[in-house]
Amino acid sequence: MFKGYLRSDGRKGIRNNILVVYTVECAHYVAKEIAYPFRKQGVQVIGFGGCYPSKYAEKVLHNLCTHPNTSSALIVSLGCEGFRTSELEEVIRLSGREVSTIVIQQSGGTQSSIGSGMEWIEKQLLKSKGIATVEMKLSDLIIGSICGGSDATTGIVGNPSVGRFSDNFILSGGTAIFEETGEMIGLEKEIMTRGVTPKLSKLLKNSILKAEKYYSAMGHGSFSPGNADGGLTTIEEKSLSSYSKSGNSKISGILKPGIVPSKPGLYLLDVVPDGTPKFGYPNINDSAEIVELISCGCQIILFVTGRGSVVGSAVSPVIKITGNPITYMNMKDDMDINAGKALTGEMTLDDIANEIEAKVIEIAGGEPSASERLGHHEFVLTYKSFQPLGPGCLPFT
Amino acid sequence: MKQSFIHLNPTDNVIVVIGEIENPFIMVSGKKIMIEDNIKFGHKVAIKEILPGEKIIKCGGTIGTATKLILPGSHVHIHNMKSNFINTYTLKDLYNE
Repeated sequence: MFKGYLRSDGRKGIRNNILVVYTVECAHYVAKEIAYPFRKQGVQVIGFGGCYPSKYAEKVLHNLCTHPNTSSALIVSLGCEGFRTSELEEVIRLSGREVSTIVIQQSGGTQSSIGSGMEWIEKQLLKSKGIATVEMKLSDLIIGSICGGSDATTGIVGNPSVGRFSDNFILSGGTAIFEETGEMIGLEKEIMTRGVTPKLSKLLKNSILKAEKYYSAMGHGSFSPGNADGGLTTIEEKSLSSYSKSGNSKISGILKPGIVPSKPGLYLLDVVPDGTPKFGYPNINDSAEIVELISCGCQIILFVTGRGSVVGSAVSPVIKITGNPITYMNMKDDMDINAGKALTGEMTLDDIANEIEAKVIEIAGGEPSASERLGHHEFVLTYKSFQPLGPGCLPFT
Repeated sequence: MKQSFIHLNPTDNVIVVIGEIENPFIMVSGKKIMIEDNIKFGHKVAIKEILPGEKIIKCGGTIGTATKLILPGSHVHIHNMKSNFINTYTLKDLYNE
């Protein structure tokens, strides 16, 4: 159906990105300068700003550097931070990808680190052209869905059309991940019918209760002033809207950031940290959620917006769908799909679901999405901590 | 003709504005209701009398509880309803304490 890139672990990517990875904020500027001249050639900056160790951040960066959309990675370290750069380098090398590390303190400082980094990127750009391509079909994809800048249209047409696409996609053998248990508060009863096993349904409910506890401790729910301007009133109204992007398929398992599903099906990504609430809000913005979805292997992200978000992401393309016909008219360049046509009666939700499928195939085949065309490659990674997945979260793996 | 409102589920006690309101009078179960002026796109309108403490139903689900008497045709929003889980904050609440 379309051409992708074959990686040595057998996974298939739809982009051939080279990542420049900073391992503390102090190395961020050098990383940005290295990547800047090549930003339109698939060279992207990701990284972690914190100086204190974080197993969570290390796991996410391990997964992104060995993601099917990644061809090679350059690590940029200051030299005294808590991030274990040699482990990251080892993980990338073992995945069959080219990797190099620049330690700024040992490379003569800013100027010469930028110089040697750019030289490495130039070489990789030549090499990455030779990577084997492979035939891919729709069901080879792991597709993540998220909504942000929600308004009333998100739950009426935007998310329901993604839900319909997702149901068809899962029937044809695909893997879909939806997220944000903080936006499932109020759905404790509804979720009890969704798991493939009764045990999983109970665990799904527990993940919502955890989110409720966590957000209550933070002081307010996952709800922005713009949500209210757009007609939403409470977290449970937003939850009903957010949940509709999961469609009607049974849920096959619960994931946490950095866990890649090994079997097709529909998964819920639990993004709320385990244990006593600490480190602040579970997800400080939409980009942080997108990064976590991609850390679970998503090669494409479907982003439903009502108010109008412009973000894209590093590593995987983001397809922007708006259910608000006014937003579509105001921000046409930033949008890939106008699901508002289902609101004005020009199209049905099934028509929009088909349009999403066609767009996914087009973007997977190499066409840039709206956010890619505009140069968006947002990336956010903050402190969190998780326990390993408990028994019953992935019943059939 | 373009629709101005959508009644998402037969059990809902609100409708949602999805287009320009040309005629403020609508018929609900044989009764004529006059819709309040200036309700924005995406916002909700009561189609029944809703008493304080009564549930607000949208898409067949409970989305909160009325904090005041809401008359048919009135705007249903954060000024007359609240969450049953975590309170909705406004920038005014946060910064004009």
